[in-house]
Order: sequence, then structure tokens, then C-alpha cells
Amino acid sequence: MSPTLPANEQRYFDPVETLARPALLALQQQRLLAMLHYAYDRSTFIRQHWQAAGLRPQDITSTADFCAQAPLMDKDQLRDWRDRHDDPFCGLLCTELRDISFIGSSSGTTGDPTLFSYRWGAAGGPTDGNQPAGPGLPADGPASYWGGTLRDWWEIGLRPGEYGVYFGLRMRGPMFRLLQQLGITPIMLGYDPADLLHFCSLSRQLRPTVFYAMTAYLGSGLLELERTQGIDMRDVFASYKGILFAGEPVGPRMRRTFERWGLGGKIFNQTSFGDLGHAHDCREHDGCHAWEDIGVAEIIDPVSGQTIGGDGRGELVCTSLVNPLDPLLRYRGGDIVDMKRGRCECGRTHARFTPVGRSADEMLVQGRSILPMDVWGAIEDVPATEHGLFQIIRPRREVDRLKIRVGYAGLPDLALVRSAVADAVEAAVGLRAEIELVPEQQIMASGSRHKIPRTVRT
Amino acid sequence: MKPPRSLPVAAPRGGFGDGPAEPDPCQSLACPPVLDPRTPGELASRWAVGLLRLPGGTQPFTVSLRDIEADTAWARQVFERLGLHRGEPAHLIGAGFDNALLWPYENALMGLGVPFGVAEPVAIDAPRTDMFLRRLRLQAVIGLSGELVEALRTLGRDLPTLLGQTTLVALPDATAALRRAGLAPWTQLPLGPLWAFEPPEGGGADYDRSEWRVEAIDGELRVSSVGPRATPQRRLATGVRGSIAPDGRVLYQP
Repeated sequence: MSPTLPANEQRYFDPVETLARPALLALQQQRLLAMLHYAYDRSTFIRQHWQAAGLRPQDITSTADFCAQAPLMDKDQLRDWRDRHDDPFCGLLCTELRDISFIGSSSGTTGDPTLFSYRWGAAGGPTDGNQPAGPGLPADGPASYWGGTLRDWWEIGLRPGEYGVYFGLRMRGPMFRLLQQLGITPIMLGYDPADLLHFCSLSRQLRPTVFYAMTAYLGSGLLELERTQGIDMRDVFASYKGILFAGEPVGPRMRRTFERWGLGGKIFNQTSFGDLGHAHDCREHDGCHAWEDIGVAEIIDPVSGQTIGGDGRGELVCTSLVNPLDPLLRYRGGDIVDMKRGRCECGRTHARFTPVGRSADEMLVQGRSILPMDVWGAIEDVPATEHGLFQIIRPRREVDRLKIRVGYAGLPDLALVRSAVADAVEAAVGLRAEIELVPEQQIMASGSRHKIPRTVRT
Repeated sequence: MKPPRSLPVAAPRGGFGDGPAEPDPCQSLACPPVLDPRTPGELASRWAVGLLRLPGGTQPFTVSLRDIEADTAWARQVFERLGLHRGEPAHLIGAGFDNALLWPYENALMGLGVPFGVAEPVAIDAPRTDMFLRRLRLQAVIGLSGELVEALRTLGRDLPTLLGQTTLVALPDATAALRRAGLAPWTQLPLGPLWAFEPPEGGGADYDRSEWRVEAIDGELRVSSVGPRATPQRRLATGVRGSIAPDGRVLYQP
């Protein structure tokens, strides 16, 4: 059954978004305690992982207990389980394979992609993907969860009757169905350069209101169309209420470009909610909302694993509250975030976080911490490398020399470009980097088009 | 409801910014066949807008919910003909931009109770297909492309070992390599807005004749809509060479 949509003028999709914090935390705890028993009874990985820690669900009586006592889990442990037990679902599956509709998979940046599952509609109910309109979640769960909840998309300002541009990959599932659940017609485009010209044309004719998902690759293509074909991008984007970056964040220069195209304040970030799903920022752009009725969001010290209370920077740890198929309990996905728990200016009471990098991407160069975002803007500031297509060479976490492979456009004087990039990086991070210049296409061919690996071993 | 209008085909381009600077080329493209987006209740008639990839370039088209439901019914027949079983996983390969064509097949798999994983039909996504093949006992792999088959070889995979225990449905550019490896794939033949399917033993590719009519004109297969599609087609040039068998199936020339 399709969710009932709020009146167009309402900002919030679901009353739970602004639930008073004590009531929200009570709801979270109620769901958590139920989930612990559910997952322990059904997931072989969870049960053995907890048994190894000497813990049972009945030992946990509160969220505070849980965060203090429950063992952390990570992808390496899941992969180890998968390989030792020849179980592609890593021991997480709480149901029979026949109850799954769709098997999604992770990007595979760090190894064999891992699986996650969805079921369309309620268990035992009809399985026509057109009706009901969303995946099977508990009756009191959120409206849909293909790459975010409807509340995330409603907050952008999307309303029934509009169009949305959809440059989506399929590995995460049919996320275009979220747009349709809001009464929005998706315009489905691909990464062929000819598609970008159609994007400009269709944007002017149909006046879509959202672009999903913008990437460095697509942004570079639009810049080239503006430069070589004289297309007025302010007009192209005139109707847009939001463009979403997913897979990787927008670089500083690209952000300025979009602001020049009239999209200031309309750039939204879709990021991983600890592999439970996705999280989006709201129109206040002060962090991505971690919906605490859907998951428990903690931060820990990435080295010691100790819980960090309150606000601050740490590694994101998440727990599923509404996933009936393959829930994660205290899962550390390697994302370093800045966490804020105070009430957002938008009025929502849920925690929010800003991704600052991945622990697997961090490296220590002569003892100094370097993340891709630290050099991103410097590389974009050099005209021949303004598209921000680069990879840090990270053979191990600690190195003596910073080495960066940078993609260039056109036929520039490579010696001059190399020197300019090294100067810009040195000004940004205080280290003289070794710069390897390659044609942009080489960088783009090293990963999927929505997500370039920003660190590589060689 | 106004009838949809056909669209001009955009010229193919080799890369970003190819060609000389010129006045904004978007100004010359006609409106696509869609209705006023502010009209309430029209989502069913404009379920999605996609791009057809044709020999002369790409062309926007609209699909309605009715189109999707009709295509789902056809896809279900295809999978029943393939002999897919409830509860056993399959792998459905296709590009995200083809969602308007792919979704009925995904929906049919869900309706049949066949769990499925997805991947894109490009070399860079080959490790994902490889993972599904190695880690799950797949009853079928649908949509194998030539690029993907070559990439699996490059990964060092032995095709008969990797694919020998599953029902294969491959695009025309992959079938020859698979047959040389001793495999017997079905052929999935893209014909503009539809796919036709030919069994391993040959005899021609069948398609949904309640929605489409395929003719051979001067040796090229052309597609016309028979059902009330949101974007009607009349003798759409597909760029595929072939003829029509007496029983109506499509005999394409690889």
C-alpha cells in the first residue's frame, strides 16, 4: 500500500521526525531490545559473535547497556565468516532465501562485494513490485528504505507531479521507486556523453526538481558542455530544488561551480548510514540525519574502539532496528564522522553526522594525518586538473612520502601542471607530494562512474 | 490525453565537448511525449521517461504503468519458458539507464519468487557478476554481454566451470564466445524498446506480439507498437539486420 503523502506545504513527512527526544529514545530502545532477541535467534553470525563475547540478549536491558557491552562487528569479520562457512550472506540472514526479493551488493572497493537483502512487500504478502509500493518493513517502520526514506526526499521539497532526473546504478536496488512513491516521474539517464545533452534538453522541457546522483564524472561533463557548447547551466538547473551527491562528496571547486549555476543551498549529500541504508542532509545542511527510529548511531575511537559520548569526531557505529532480513548490530563501517546530537535548525530531533573520510583512506605521512578531502580542493584549483580526479597512492597506512595520481584534461604542459599541483597540495597540507599525471580517462576507468577509489595501493 | 509525439534523435557524440562550439544545441530539440507534470493523477501515464539507444543516437521515450504491467506479464512468460524455480537465486544484468526496460523483468522475478542479484553489463562491474557466480548457486544468468564475458576471461575464469551449471541468457555480442566455450545460451535480442528471446536450439527470437510487431524492411528489423504504448512506435529502425520467419519469430543476422 502506498504511504499517504502529507499536504504539499508540510515540511515533515512523518511525525517521528520531530518526536521529543525522550520519546524518540524510548522508541529506539523498545525496538532495539526486540531486535536483539530477533537477530540472536535467527542470525548464526550474531549468535556466535555474542556467545564469543559471553553475552546474551537478556543481559541487555537498555540502549546504554547495549552500547557499553555489546561486541562491535566489522566487514572483515563478516568476510571471514563468509569464507569459512561458504555462506554468501555472512551468517546474517534471518530468513530463508526464498523470502528475499532482491540481493543488493556493496561497491566492492575493498574486496569481494558483500550482500544485503530486501523483500518486496510484507512477508507472505503479494510480491508485485508495482503494488505494494515499497519493501517489506515492520508496519510501524519507515515509509520505504531504498537508499533512504521518503522523509529524506520530501525534505528536499519534492512533491507529487514533478519530474526527477535519475542517474542511478542498480546494485543498491530500484531507488527510482522512491521517487515514484512520491508521485514523481523519474527521467532515467546513463553515463554516455550523449545522455548529458539529453539531460540539458529534458531539464528545460520538463523542469525536473531533483538530480540523483551527481558525481565528479557527471559534473566534469556538464562543465565541458558549458565551455564547448555554450549551454546556459543556470537555465538548465533553474527548476531544481536539490541535486544529490552520492558515493563521494562534492569537492570545493565543484561546489562553487554548482553555486554559480544557481544551486547554492541545493546541494545535498547522500551518504551511508553505517551500511544500514543511506542518510541525507536536510535543507539546513548541517549534517546528515541519522534516523534514530531506524538505527542506533554511535561513534567510537577508531583505534581503541572505545565509545565516544556526546558530540565529536569518531568512527560511525550503527545498529539496525527495523531490518527483518540481515540486521547489523554495532557495525563499524569505517566512516569517520563528526556527530551532533542537538536539535537541528530544521526542527528534527534525530542525531546527524557529517562524513569527513574513511578510516581505510586515512594515511600518516611523516606522522601527519592525510585524508583525500585534505588535498581535493588544492587539486581542483589547478585548471588542468580542475575536475578533481585523483587517487592517493596508499601502499600502507604509514608512509614517508605523499604520492598522488592526478588526472588532467586536454594537452597541457605536464611539467608545469605537475609543479602547480605539487605547490597547491603543499600549500594545503604542508607536504611536498610526488605527483603522477595521467589522462583523466585513466582515473575514471579505475572505478565505477559514481565512485572513484580515492586511495589505491599502487 | 494528448497523443505523444515522436522525437528527433540526438546525434551521437564521441565524448564530452566534442565538436565545435555552437549555439545552444538544446534549443533545437523538440518536446518529449509527456503530459503537464502538474496534472494530478497522471503518474500512471508517465511512469518513467527513458532513452532508447538506437543506431542513429538516443531518443527519449515515456512508459506508462500499463506498459510496465504488460511488459511484466511478458517477462513472466519468458522466465517460465526458461524454467526458473521459486526460491533459487538468479542474476539479472542490465544498465541503470535501462530501468524502464529492466524493471518489468525484475518485477516478474519478484512475482515468481526468484531472488535476484544485479550487475551492470560493463567490464568494470565484472567482479560483481563473478562474485555472484562464485558465491551463489545461480539457476540463471540473464543479460550477459560480450564485454562482461571478455572481462570474466580476463579475471582468469574458465567459462564452462563458472557458467556451466546455470541457464544462460546472453546478448548477441556474447553468444558466439559462449558457444565456443561449449555453452548453450539463450539469446536476448535488443530491438529498441523491447527484447526478443531465442532458445539455444535457434529457430528465431520471440517477442511480445500483443504489444509489438517486428517487420524486416530492406533487411533491417523495424518495430511498431500494437498495444497502446505511452510512446507509440511506427517502423522504428533498430539497426539489427534480419528477417521474419513464417511463424513470426525474428531471425536476426549476427
